[in-house]
Amino acid sequence: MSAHRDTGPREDRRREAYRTARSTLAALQATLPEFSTLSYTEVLLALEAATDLAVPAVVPVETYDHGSLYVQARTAVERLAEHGNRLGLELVLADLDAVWLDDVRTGGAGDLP
Amino acid sequence: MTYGQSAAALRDALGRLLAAQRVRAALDGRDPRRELAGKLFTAGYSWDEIQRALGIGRELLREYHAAFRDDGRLSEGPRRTASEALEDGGFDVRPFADREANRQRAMRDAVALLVERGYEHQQIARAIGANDHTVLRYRRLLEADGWRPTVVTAAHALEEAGLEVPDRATTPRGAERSSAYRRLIAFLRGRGHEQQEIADTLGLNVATVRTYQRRLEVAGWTPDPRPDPREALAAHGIEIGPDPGELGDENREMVTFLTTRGYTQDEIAGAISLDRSSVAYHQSVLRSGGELPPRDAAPRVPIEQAIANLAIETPDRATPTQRVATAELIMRYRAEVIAYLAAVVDHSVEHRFASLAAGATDPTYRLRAALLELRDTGPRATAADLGTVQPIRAVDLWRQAAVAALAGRERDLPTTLTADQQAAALGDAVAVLRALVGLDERYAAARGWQRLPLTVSPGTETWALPAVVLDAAAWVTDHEGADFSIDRHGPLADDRRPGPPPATLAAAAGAMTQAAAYLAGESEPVKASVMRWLVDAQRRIAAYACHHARTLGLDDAVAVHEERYGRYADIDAALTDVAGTAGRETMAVVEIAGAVRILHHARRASEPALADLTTACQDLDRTIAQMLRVGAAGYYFQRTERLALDNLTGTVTRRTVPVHDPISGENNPGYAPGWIELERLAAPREVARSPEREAFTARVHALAADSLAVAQARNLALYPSDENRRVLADHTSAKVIAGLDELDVAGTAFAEARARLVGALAATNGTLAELGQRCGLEPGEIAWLIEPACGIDAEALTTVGVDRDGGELASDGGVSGSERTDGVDVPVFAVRSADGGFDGLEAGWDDLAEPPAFVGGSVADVEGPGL
Repeated sequence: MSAHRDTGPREDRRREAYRTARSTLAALQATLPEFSTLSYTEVLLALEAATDLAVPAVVPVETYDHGSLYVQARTAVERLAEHGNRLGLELVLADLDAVWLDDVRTGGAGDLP
Repeated sequence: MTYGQSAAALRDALGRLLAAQRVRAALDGRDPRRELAGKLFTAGYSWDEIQRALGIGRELLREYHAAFRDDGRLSEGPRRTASEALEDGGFDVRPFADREANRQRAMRDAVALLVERGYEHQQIARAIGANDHTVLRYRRLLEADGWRPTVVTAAHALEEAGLEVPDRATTPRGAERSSAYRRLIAFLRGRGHEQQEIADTLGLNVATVRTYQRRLEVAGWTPDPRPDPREALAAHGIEIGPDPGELGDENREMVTFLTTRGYTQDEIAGAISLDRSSVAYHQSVLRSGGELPPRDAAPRVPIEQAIANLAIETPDRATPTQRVATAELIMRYRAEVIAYLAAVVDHSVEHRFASLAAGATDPTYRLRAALLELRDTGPRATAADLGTVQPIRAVDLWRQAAVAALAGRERDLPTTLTADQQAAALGDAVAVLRALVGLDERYAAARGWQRLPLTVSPGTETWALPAVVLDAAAWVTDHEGADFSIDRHGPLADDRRPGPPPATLAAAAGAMTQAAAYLAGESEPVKASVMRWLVDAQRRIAAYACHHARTLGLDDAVAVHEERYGRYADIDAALTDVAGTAGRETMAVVEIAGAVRILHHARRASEPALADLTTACQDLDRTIAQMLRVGAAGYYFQRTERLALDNLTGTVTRRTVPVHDPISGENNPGYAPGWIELERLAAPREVARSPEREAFTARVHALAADSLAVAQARNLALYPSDENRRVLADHTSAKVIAGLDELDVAGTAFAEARARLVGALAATNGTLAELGQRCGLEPGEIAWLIEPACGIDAEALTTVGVDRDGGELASDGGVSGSERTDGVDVPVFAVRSADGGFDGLEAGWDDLAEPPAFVGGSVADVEGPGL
């Protein structure tokens, strides 16, 4: 990967989106109880595997509202998918949706019946 | 195209497809117009324009808008707030209540003024833009507040108008006085004052006033119309705002303005200080037909162009037949993709299990079985399907995926894969299969769509397909170390056009490049017979290249290839009796044969093509030299004939028996110099371009040859009976002399090859102390390392060193025929090559990866632990 690809507004936006995605996913994971069969961490790992950017530091999120966190994370991954490993990131989105659906179905209890 | 390219094209097409489907499914709608509408909202187009352009109703558009707003995506982008938008549109954004209070105050003032001026109610109503009931109502309100109209007297009117009553005492009777009276009377009557009042004001009697009036009328006078009440209002600075109806209109206009720009009811209500229900009311009035055109122009780009730019297709309503046809088409594309996946997985999965049950425990085996079963269902895409660009974007993405799959299956399928490369290929396949399963769920409700089977049952087993896919995905995730060098597999697209390759030098260069890549990728030397063929082919290629270079007049290239020709001729001679069955056969042979054929016919040479050819040839030289070097240790053997005596039957028979010995300087003196010269040719010494260059080069070559001969003699003395080690030492000496290796490197790698130390020492005339200093060991330890093989006295070596001029080493060391006593069976042959082409080999052969443990090793202790 040459140096000029690491600069430029698009790369900045991608890095920003990546940071947002990681931060919100980490915050979502933090909303789950400690022992949980659901895990946003796996989504996070899949995201890492599907992204070629350097792993950024997680920043504090502005809200702890479940829904907005999900929307933010999903939007960020969608933005990443616009210029990147499309298939991998689409599968990350599918993973995120699956975990989110289970999360909603269990009402935030984090455990499937 | 390589495996990586076709696989990437397939993944990209499927990724785009998933993205398109995700957008469609975002609102349950399967409707791309939602995303389109949202983008147009944020781009600032009005609702009407979007509605017209997309051909959808306002209700649906409102739903899209709400969904977009809920996603929080409307706030993105350079969008102005509703208040700012109103200011841009030139609207008055003061609150309604303020404006209404101001207006009522102005109305009361106006009514009071005009009533005092004696205007009729109808006139007042017309002046203030209300009806006379309103005027009456205001008058009653004023009177209820205690207001009484102050009557404007005639005297006051005259004073206001700046007219003076003529003084009877000073003004003589006559025309002047009567004309003044006439003017005043006309003025006052025109203002509606009574004759009696006028008479009182002017000091006349009524009859006189009446007479004046009659005369005025006879003369054609008519009373001036009373001034417009609006003028009176303006003279007093009273300005009536818009009436309630107009105010409502303005509000409605603002609501229209903001609504058409996609602002929500809340935003609108906040911006113009109305409650939300009023906004809703205005919007409902608008919807029922009373729409006002937006004030300013739309965004500069026409909306059709904007839609085209966004490239989200809005399919026309299709008939059921068309839908079924589309579904069948997509299923044919899907079959193509599945066939590709099956082929890839078939190549990259171990499937030789003892039984189905044993294999079924392996997720990758299950994946392979499932894919092989899926592959055989349904028709594949035809050439017409693959070649026709589809108007619907999603279908065209399917087509692109199928084309990539077909190209990958027919041309770029990787054949021989390492375990890590298999894992990489399997990862790709699993990702694509997950996408297929996901898309299958999306399409489940589509007309004519046949879903993938829920279960696969090869043999007696039955597995759920999603479980198979998930297991394989988990396996891929767990399998670390996927090797993505597989992405470079496969022939280059340019090389495989239909028909015979063109007989140009460029084609030959391409074939040679490919051959060099193949040969460099081999993990072992090629078989001796292949090597002989390779060397002969290189010799011929060098001849051809020399000819072309001469035609082009490139003297440098001529020299290069002439020298190559000489080297390969030497090696060819040296290889005459070399044989061996170990080693590999290589695809490079095919490419080189093609190159020779092309070169035989090639006519038009060009300089860049010749340069490519030269580079590829030098790459090949390097690899061939390495193979020759490594091949001498266990791959290639010198065939000699010896006399044998048979006396099985009692009579002694003499006959010659072919014997294969390891190649040495004695039985094949041309071998080692051959590859050394070749290697030197491939990695030429950098000599500064100076006038003495030729002389210097000749001197260096002569010195190298001398040194090599001396070193070889010394090595022979050290290892008189240990052929392997002597060859090894010879090679190491040669490398050091040729500048390809250094004492430093030899020192750091001492643990790998103790014989190298001997070679290095012999070549550099170095001392044990020097070498020990380089590699951080005591001279005694070095001596111990070397000694078991030759039994040299450590003290003597340390003090005397190895002298170049003679055989001290041989005589002094008391060279005996001692066999190897260190317990190492495999010949240690791990010269680290400069480009690492044989790393794998090296690792496999390296039995001395760690330094030997010194048990009581000291300077005096001349016996190693293994003795």
